[in-house]
Amino acid sequence: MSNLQYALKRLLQAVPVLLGVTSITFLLINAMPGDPVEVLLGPTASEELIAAATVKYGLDQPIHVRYVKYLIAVAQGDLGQSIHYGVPVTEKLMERLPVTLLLLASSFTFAVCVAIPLGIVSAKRRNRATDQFSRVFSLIGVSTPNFWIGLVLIIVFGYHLDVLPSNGLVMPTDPVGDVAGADSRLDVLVATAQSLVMPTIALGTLQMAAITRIERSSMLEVLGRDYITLARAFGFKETTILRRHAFRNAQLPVITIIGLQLTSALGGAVLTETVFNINGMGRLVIQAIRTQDYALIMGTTLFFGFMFVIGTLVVDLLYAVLDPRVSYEGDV
Amino acid sequence: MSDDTLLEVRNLQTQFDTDEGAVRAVDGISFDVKRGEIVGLVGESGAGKSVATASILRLVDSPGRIVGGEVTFDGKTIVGFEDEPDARGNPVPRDDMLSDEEMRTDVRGQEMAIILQDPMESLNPVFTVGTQLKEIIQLNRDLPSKEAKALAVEMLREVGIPNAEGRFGEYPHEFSGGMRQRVLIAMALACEPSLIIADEPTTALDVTVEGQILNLVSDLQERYDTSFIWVTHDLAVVADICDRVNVMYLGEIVEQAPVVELFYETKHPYTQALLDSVPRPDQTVEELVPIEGVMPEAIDPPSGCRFHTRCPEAREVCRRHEPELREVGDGVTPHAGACFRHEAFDAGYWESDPIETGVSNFGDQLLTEQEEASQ
Repeated sequence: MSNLQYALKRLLQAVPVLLGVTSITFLLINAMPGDPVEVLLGPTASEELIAAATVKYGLDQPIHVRYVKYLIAVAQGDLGQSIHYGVPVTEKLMERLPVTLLLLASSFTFAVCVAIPLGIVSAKRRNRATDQFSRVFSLIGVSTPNFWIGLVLIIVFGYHLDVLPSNGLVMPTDPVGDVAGADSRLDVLVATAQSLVMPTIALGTLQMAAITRIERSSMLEVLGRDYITLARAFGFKETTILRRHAFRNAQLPVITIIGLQLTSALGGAVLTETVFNINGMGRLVIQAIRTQDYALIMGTTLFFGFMFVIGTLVVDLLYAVLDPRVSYEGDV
Repeated sequence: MSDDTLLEVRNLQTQFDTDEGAVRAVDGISFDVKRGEIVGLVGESGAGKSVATASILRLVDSPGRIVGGEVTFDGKTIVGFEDEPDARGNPVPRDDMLSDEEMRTDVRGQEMAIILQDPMESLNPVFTVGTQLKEIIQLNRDLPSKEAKALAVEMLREVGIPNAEGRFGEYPHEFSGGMRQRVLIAMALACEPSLIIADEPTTALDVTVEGQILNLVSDLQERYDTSFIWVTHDLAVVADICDRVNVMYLGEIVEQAPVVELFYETKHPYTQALLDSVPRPDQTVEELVPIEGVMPEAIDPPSGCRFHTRCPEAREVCRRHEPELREVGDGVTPHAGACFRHEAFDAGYWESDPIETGVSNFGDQLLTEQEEASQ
């Protein structure tokens, strides 16, 4: 079995996982008091209007019938119609997805680029000042909620110093005319970068701290191995040993953590987007729940579940790339 | 075999600074390695064998450090200190002592190589065996890539790996333990060093494979005329491969002799105890005699002779005075021992009172007590 076949097999295994996600979510939202029609029409709507709307959105049917109908539609690629926005759920997802992906990509780039060198330096200079600093720093990082970091950043850099925008996210694809003070595409890109700084730090700090910790301990473990002693005894430079003999081996646990952090970052995105007023998937979820927009809740949850499956799959495939002992060939 | 000395170790001291105090893991050992000779370093776990070899390579990890003595290797000063320590009592390296950078570029790999105990752990799992061997050759022999590869394949063939070209591109996990140890031997020999430190290289292998590896090493040693320091706790291996042997106990060398002398003219009770604790094909005994007790902690070594707490021959004098390594042989073959029983010491051992070593008759005491209790 090649790695491609393995990937396809894993994707097929995602089907029961997602089926589980849909059934639990479907039950939960139907167990919530109230229904979307009431939210949509408000408290003053007449009985007839409510009855008509209930029929229109198919909410008069029993739950199991609605569930099966929903599954059939999803299998055909139709996630239904958002009651609140009045547009197809897929359209809404596609509109919000790039925003969240940009935020996640930016946060993870930040996290990885800071954490890996910091972890390595920390391991190399074990128990010395640099290491102590990085350990305290990452301990604070993993124990601070990201919305709090976001709020502090806004107060300091957005309000008092007034150097960074704290409201919304400028997408690099936004029309030039829509971005305040922008005369060219370059200006838009600069605005994007500026608006990304604080949300990136707010969302990425936790991942950065978690990755630093695992990078440090993983590096320490590898540096204690016999093959490192052997490399030293054969006269390799310390820098060569770090870069070539130890680095790759130490990245396996790090990759696992990055994969897991990806899923926790989706949760973090909900809070970060709320704090910074960013219209991404996170806020869409909040909005969907607040308006009891059944189809939208289902759609976003399903999508988050799918991201989770993809995340773990990518981690497993990366194992095979990094470690020759891991092979999915011959696996059935 | 030439007679000139390749490595000279004099009064080498390495200690580990811990919160509880200094642990003197190697406490003043002296020995020589001649060109083309295999010298054994024997002792129980914790005797300081591996720290001694790490000190010779100057690869002692913090909190360990070399605090005294002199190591000369092929005219180079590996370890050497000024007579006077600095203001804080730390030893001052002499000017002729090699810098860390010189150790790395001129000695390690080039002139000294090691073979480690665990072949499963000594190869990097993410690179092919060939890549690792070639890398070491390129680093230490300054050959272009193509020639380094050719030499690597040749070395693999040399250590008896079948289908060397084919296996060049395989990963360590595709090799058996014995084959991996062959690869490590190839690595050590590839740079044609004059000294190879073998740190229990056959301990992790099963006995048949061990035999093959020992034969291979004997063969190659003769062909390349390389000297070896062979670290082991296994006297059978010592008998098989070594020319001369140093027996270590708790950071000190207690007996030093050519291998045959050591086995048949044993001068130290510790060596005798080691010999009695393993089966010998040349002697039949009813029961093997284990060495009683465990080796004391190096942080707080016993007074006098360090072995006196476990020694069946211990007397009062052993507790009060520490014997140094002295020539105790017949005057023909050099044979050094550190035990007061020999005439060379004249310490009044035979007039001294025997002491209860406590551990040796602990079992008997227990039995007597039980008997008394039951009566």
